[in-house]
Amino acid sequence: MVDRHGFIYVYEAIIASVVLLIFSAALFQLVPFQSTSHPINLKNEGYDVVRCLDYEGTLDIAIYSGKWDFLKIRMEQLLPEYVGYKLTIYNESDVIASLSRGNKSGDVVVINYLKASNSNYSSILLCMEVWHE
Amino acid sequence: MDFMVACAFFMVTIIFLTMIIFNYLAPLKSQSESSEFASEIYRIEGILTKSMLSYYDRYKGEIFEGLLDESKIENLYYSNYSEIKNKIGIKDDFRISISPAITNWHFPNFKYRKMIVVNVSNVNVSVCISFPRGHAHADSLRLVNFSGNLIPFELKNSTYWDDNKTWLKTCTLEFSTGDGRYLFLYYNGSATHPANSTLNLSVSNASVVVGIEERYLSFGVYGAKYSGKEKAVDERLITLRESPRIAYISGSNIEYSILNELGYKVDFYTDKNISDLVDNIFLFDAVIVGSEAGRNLVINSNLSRKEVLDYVNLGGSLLIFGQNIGGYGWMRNFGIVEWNVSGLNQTVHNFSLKILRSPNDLGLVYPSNDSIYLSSSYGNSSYTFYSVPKVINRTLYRKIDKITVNRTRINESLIKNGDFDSNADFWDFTNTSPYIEGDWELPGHIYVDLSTSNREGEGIWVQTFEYTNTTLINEANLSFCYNVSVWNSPGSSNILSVNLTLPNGTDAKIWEESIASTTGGWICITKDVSKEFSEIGNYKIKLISHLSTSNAPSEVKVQWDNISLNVSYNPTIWLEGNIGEGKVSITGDEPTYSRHKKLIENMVEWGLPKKSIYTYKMVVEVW
Repeated sequence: MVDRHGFIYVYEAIIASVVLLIFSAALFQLVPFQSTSHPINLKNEGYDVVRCLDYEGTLDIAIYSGKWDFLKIRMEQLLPEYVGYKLTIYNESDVIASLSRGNKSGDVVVINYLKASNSNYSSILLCMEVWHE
Repeated sequence: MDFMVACAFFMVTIIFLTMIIFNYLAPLKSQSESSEFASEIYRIEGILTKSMLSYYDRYKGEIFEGLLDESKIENLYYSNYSEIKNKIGIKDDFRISISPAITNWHFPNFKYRKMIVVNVSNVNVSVCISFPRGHAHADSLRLVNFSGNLIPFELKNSTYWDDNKTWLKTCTLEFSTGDGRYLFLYYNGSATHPANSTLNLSVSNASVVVGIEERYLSFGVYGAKYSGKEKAVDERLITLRESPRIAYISGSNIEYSILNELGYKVDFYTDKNISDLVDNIFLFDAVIVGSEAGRNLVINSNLSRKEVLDYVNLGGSLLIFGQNIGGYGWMRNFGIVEWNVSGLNQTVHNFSLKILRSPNDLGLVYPSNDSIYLSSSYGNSSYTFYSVPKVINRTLYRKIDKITVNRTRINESLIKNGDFDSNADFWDFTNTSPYIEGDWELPGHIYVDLSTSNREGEGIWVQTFEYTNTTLINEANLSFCYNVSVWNSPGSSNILSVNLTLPNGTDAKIWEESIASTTGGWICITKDVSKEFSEIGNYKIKLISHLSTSNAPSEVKVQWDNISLNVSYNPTIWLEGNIGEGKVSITGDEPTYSRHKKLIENMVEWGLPKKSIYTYKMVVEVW
């Protein structure tokens, strides 16, 4: 047999402990949080890479020379390893190159980047799909 | 049963401890603050990358998102944290770090590298490579494969930024790729043991691509010291534009201040250290001779040195502010001689010097009381200079619409019938409510009146005028007077404002005032609107009376008068031309005298080369 008062005290102790533990957990957890894998961040990561490739001049060199492996190496230096991508490059009528890393999974964010024509080449559209691996 | 309860209690304890250890409960707290932290981080990133540190392209007149100005970053790192925090407007603490986005940097002692990609392996190739000014010491080159193993190479056809053949400008590299197709060429600003050798390779016609220049230079951490609290972290890729290196030879503190205000990072030289500058002149993208500096005997003597002429011939930019060239003997090294004019009017034609070109009308009479510099043939070379007056439209840097050497200020009034002596001709009235009236009245002004109770709307007087002057204005003063002659509308909102509609259609608010009583007479306001006149075309001035009335009896009446917009400008001339591979630009109009920021900006921008852009990683932490 169990003492009835004993039950009450045990339950009270359990409830109090749970409350105490939750409070402690909420109070003392100090782990910093990283920006999450939210699609907004994914879009920023993808867009930042394309924009940097353009501004620093790599995109110009790749388009002008047609050496797409050169672009792929540089892109994979800049993109975090946990981000997969597929980059399709169009001229005014056709796909002229397609580069990729990993297999699509989860949220896939699409970034379109239009590179205006200049004296060396006509307009180029970059369609980049990115996802977290 | 007690045992089971104890077990249950034990299990719950273990579960919670586990949850704490592995941070499963973290969202209970952090998620409540994460949105706040996230918005703070995005705000900081936005302010840094879109305004505070961003690079302003003066030619295009725009800011590029994510392209930062290296000199602004350096200034930030020297700035007081509290002031920056207030400027950004955040309450949390933060810190940022900016470091190069690079991988596999094989030689930390080397500052620069370029990637070389060959389409096949195990071939002998030849590739031409160029280097920015002052980046590659001729003895610093190192070629490695993707794993960092040194690859022998032969250096050919080198050209240099200096006559001592220290700083490489271009060269041809010949090497054997080995098993790999990807290689890196490292180089630095200081001499090391030369690594090139004679290989006598028979090169193939393999396809080779040379990548962009990467730079190994970190800016470290800026901001508060991390206090161990909960924090949020975000990481962005950015690009930054390398600062041009500019030397200014003393002449005027005003010019030096203007250069700093315009955001140029400038090294200052006087007659005390001018020899140091000339010794290292090849490291500078542009050298500016301040007004009158070139007449100083010590400076004049140093600028006469061969290094200065070599500097320009090999690709440097020399920008000369000055006049009365009697003491500028060193300029004759460049084949530049003075052309002294006197009297108020001069006809610029029929001379043998090649300075003016279409569409300048050489037959025109140009009023002048100043001196300008012209070029002449020098030895077997023929230097061609052409003149460009300062112009307002950003796209007109090279367009020549007008030439004058007149230093007399020209004044021009843009508003017609602003005193309303006998009518409101040239002005149009529009309203947003039929209860708002506008008209001309004696003794000579215009008005806007709302005399019906419980109504609201705007009465707007508008005049359109055309601004066609292609010379930069010094001042543009907009003056107007208003008088709230009737105000019986307690509790209502009445706002007067003056706007300028620019040729591109945007409205610039010049002035705004809330009114809550009569003014007891005329109040006159003058505003400097010179910054709004950056383009030619049709402008509109709008006198806006936003009126509202309360319960009867209620009325508000506003009168406007003495509207004027007077612009003034000092036409100037500056000459620009190429000597060898370099550039020389001269103005006979002292920026000091006329305080022409735009003249200084035009000349410097014309002289500066395109600078390297590097990709960096910016980490922002907030807590």
